[in-house]
Amino acid sequence: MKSDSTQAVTGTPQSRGRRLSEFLGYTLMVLSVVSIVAVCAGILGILFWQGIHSIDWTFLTQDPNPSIAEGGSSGGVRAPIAGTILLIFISTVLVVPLALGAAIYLADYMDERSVFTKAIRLGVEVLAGVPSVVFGMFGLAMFSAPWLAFMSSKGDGAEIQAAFGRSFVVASIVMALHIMPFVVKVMEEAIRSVPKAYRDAAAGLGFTKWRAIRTIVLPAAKPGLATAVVLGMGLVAGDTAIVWLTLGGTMTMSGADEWWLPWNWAALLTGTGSTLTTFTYFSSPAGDGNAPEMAFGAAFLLIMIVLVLNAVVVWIGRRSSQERT
Amino acid sequence: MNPEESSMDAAISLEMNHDTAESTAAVSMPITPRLRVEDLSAWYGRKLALDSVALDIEDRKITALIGPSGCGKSTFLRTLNRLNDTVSGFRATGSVRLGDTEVLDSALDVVRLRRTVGMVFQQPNPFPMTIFDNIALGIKEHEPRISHQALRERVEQSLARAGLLEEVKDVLKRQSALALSGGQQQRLCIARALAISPSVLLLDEPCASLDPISTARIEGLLVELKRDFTIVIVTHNLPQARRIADDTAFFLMGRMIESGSTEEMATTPQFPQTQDYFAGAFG
Repeated sequence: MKSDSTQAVTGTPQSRGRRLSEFLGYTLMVLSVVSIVAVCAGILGILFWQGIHSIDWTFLTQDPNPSIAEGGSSGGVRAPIAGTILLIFISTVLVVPLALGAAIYLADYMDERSVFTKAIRLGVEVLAGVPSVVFGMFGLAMFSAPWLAFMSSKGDGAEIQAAFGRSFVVASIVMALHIMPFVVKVMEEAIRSVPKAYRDAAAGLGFTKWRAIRTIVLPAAKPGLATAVVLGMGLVAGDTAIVWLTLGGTMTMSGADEWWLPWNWAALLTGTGSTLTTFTYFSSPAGDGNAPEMAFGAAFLLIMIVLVLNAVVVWIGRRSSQERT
Repeated sequence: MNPEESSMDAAISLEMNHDTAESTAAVSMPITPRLRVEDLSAWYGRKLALDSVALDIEDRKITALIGPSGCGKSTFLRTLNRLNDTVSGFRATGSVRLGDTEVLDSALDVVRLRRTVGMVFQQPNPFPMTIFDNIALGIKEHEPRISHQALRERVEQSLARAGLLEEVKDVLKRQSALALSGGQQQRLCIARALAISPSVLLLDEPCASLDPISTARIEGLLVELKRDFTIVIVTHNLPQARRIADDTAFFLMGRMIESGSTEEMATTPQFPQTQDYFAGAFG
């Protein structure tokens, strides 16, 4: 009997087996984490190494060489940077009010058991899974309708049969549709995660449902809502297909030469342009261009923008957790 | 705080009966109860939660609702300010009269009702904002034009009333309410409920998550507050009911078994179930 109990402490075959499986599981876990981190670091490292050489004052402040597709490597990325920011800005302005309204409705007003609710949920799921190139095609087809020509440019002929269907306005609308389901879902989660106790307290104080949402639930959900917006911005910054199809293939702003002047903004918005993603594509050998160093420079800037957006998310989260303590 | 201030209109016209209540403290004269509940039944979906309950709740007294978990005491409490309206599938029949107002009337303005009948919950639930805003929010909701000065006075008055002002007056607008201790949070919730000038205060096991010292502070506070408010408190804690409640109602499986003065209930209960419950046979 004594030997049995000693063995239980020093290690029976079973306990050795347990320890071995514990060790194997841990090792596999560490290996997968290390490989993921290594891949990420590798991509960032290569982009940084290759891209940093292209980045200088000229690169940042000059418009691209219009003939970049033919192999020119002069010029810079001023227009694509502006295009990226402009697209992010307009599509965010379009998406936020709609997504917020939909998220509040989904989180607080819908009867979960109704067929209508299930249909909406299914719709959002399906829409979230549609690839952006499909949105791009849809947008191009839709905004080529002659009566929507005011959003892009008209054909040159006397008889206008179709609008051009490509412009900052069109691309922003299509982009907003593309990120809508994602933003709605993240916002809905943010609103749902506000404790029911706050809603109870508000009801007990005589707040109507809408007033409670407006004055207590939404402020409490603010960090989550902001995260939804910033993540949506990241999606816009990173998308290529929609830009390629609905913003046109021009590297510079086609609406006006001096596009930064306020009185040219209407022309700018209905004109075509590029973003860092399409610039990267067109100047890389993968597209028609042959200026890989420019492509790496633009890709590096794009990654920087996305990193800044992610940092903003972290900052919002941290600031709100400080507010709560 | 000041019932005169609360500008209640005809929708809920309440007789305060203050003079009557005070002058009858010595002699037993019939007093109009603040809340008269008759034949109240309630369902969650098909499940019967309250079975024709009748209970008179006296003005300016503490009435304790006791009974084991699931006996319907919280449902009863939440029916008094129609808070269960937000629960889908909830239905109530019978009558709950608050002064001259029928609480269960579907045409009743529940916003006004809840201004008159305040509520404090089991878990302290301050909003994630400053101490000041926690209280100011409710006041501003009902009096959007209130001046800064008046608002500040009302907030401080309410905090003083709840015995919290001294502890927090230096950090009112700086500190988040979530940084307070559990007991302080619960007193903040009481202050928040008092700030919109109710005349009835409902408390759903307000000390359930608190330590004995915080509990004692809240009990002392409630005994003070009953001079101006009708207080209904759900409690699991029999000694607590005996310490602070003038009247007690014992609930069991959706029925109100027995009610009366707490002392009589504890010493000479009429029903065997009440006796067993007080004796600790079940809980």
